[in-house]
Amino acid sequence: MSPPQPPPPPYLLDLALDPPPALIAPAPDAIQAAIAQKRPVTRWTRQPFTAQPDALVLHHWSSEQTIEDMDTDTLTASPFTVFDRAIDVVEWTAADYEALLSPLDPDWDHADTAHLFALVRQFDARFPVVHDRYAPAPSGIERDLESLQERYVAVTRALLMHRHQHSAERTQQLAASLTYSASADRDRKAHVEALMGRSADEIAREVAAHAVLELFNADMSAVVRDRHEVLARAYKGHSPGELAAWNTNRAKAREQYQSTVSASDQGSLAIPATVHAAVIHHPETPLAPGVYLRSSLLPKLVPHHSNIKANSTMGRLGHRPSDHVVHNTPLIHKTFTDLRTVCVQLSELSKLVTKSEQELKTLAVRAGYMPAVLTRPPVVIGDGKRHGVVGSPAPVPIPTTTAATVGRVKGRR
Amino acid sequence: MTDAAAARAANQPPQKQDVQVVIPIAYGTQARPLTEAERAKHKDHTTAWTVYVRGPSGESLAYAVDRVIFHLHESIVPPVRTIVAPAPFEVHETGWGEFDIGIEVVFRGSGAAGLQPVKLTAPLKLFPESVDTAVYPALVGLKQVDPARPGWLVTEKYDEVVVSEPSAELYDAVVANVDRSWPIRGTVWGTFSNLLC
Repeated sequence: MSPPQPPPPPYLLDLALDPPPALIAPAPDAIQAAIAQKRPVTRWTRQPFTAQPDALVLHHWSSEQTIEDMDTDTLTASPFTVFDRAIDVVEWTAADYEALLSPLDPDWDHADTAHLFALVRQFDARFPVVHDRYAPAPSGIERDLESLQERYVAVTRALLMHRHQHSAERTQQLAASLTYSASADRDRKAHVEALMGRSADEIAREVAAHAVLELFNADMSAVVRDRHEVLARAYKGHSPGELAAWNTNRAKAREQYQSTVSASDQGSLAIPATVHAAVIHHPETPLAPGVYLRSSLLPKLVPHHSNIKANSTMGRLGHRPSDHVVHNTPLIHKTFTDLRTVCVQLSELSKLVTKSEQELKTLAVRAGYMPAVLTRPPVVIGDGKRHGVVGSPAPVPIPTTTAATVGRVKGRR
Repeated sequence: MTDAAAARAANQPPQKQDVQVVIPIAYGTQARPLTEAERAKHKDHTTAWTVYVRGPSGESLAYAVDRVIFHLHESIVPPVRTIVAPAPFEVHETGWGEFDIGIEVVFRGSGAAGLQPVKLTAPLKLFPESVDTAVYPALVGLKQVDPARPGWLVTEKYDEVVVSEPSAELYDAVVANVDRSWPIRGTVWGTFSNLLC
């Protein structure tokens, strides 16, 4: 007897297929009742049909009810012709190859590409079969399944983009959206194999580690929340991340500030000589009758999430939301309020700038100038290391828009 | 008008319409360590401190202020001190701990339904801050020592009390004493406590 297997872990059970449909056998009475109904028996006849494109005549059974329902045009065709789909594989000439396709990949030559495309046409782009039949290639180079797919997609994309460069924008977008990442595919397959190839012992260890992780996350979220609250209370209005960066740059900030201040020897904060009069007739900002402190008339810097960017701008100038204005004269208040307004405007403008840059990048990608490189991050299992192919290509950096390129994008469109 | 407003209008002398009166005040604390003789007298106390409310040039505010109420820590007996004009609005004490002192300034002409007292908070600082000027860059250059008051650690704030539509009594008092406060001749010393309260 084999030792009892441990029960499968819950998340594997979630992956299981739907349970099979319950077989309900009809009761004998129901069968008798159906027989007693005396439904008419349909006759079935053997019908000929031709499958395109050759003239081979085959026969199949179809009921007369179906024949009555169909019109004469489809009588000679099989109902299964809807499954007879052909893949339209792009065709290219030698001239096309010289002009467009040869610079794409130095590892592929004309003969290999032609061989690949012939197989793709023959086997309707079913790449496992194509890969099986690929060897021996004209050049003798052995290639794996992902390389074949990669070459096929690259050639198709190049040809379609060239042929539709003057077509509608939607067509161009569709052509440009044809992408395939061989490295991502290899990673994915390696992950699936690793997932399926685990022993029962490994699965049990993973489940235990997962349980520990869940407990850890539950604790960590509470710790992070408390820490965030403590930091927020200490330095209101600033995000803890920015605060941490500020602490690490302490020495630099000290040097910089001392160099600016040592130039002007400020021993005290003297009240400026120009102050408002003690008695103001017809004041500009009328107040309801009562007593007010000047400091209470200053709008407070609320540490609200919408103010964080403006608060951080003011923080770089050395002011924090919890700082109160020390000398509450009308002139200083006015200056402070103006500064605050400028900081808010600055934060809004910077948001607009970021948004506009994003839109510009999107338009440039759509125009085909920038390649839309899509790489999925690999799924991490177990030891947290990448299970990728050695020598995966590094992600292509998106080129930034310069004056020279803006004109080119405009020209294409 | 509401009943309260009607009562206020009936009880009070006529208000000055469309006028604001600005009374500058400087309030805060100053502290110095106790001498040996004083230490012998007050066991466990380390510093002598004063909390005050006065004009920015050091002048008295008795022309506009009727009385000032200081709310000290409960451990100091008595915790609530009321200083009535014309005495200088100060409290001198010795102690060892720092706390926030609540100050209520009651202006002249504040009747039963008149002006509300102005509430201020002065943090008592007995020890100089060990300040990291990179964390508080605004403090570079600020000193807690007033040359006119050597040996005292000064923690002071400047503020202005704006009275909208003052009573005639307050208005006359301020107008008569404008020269005392304006223009401001003294230097008001900045505080570290702003940043921590």
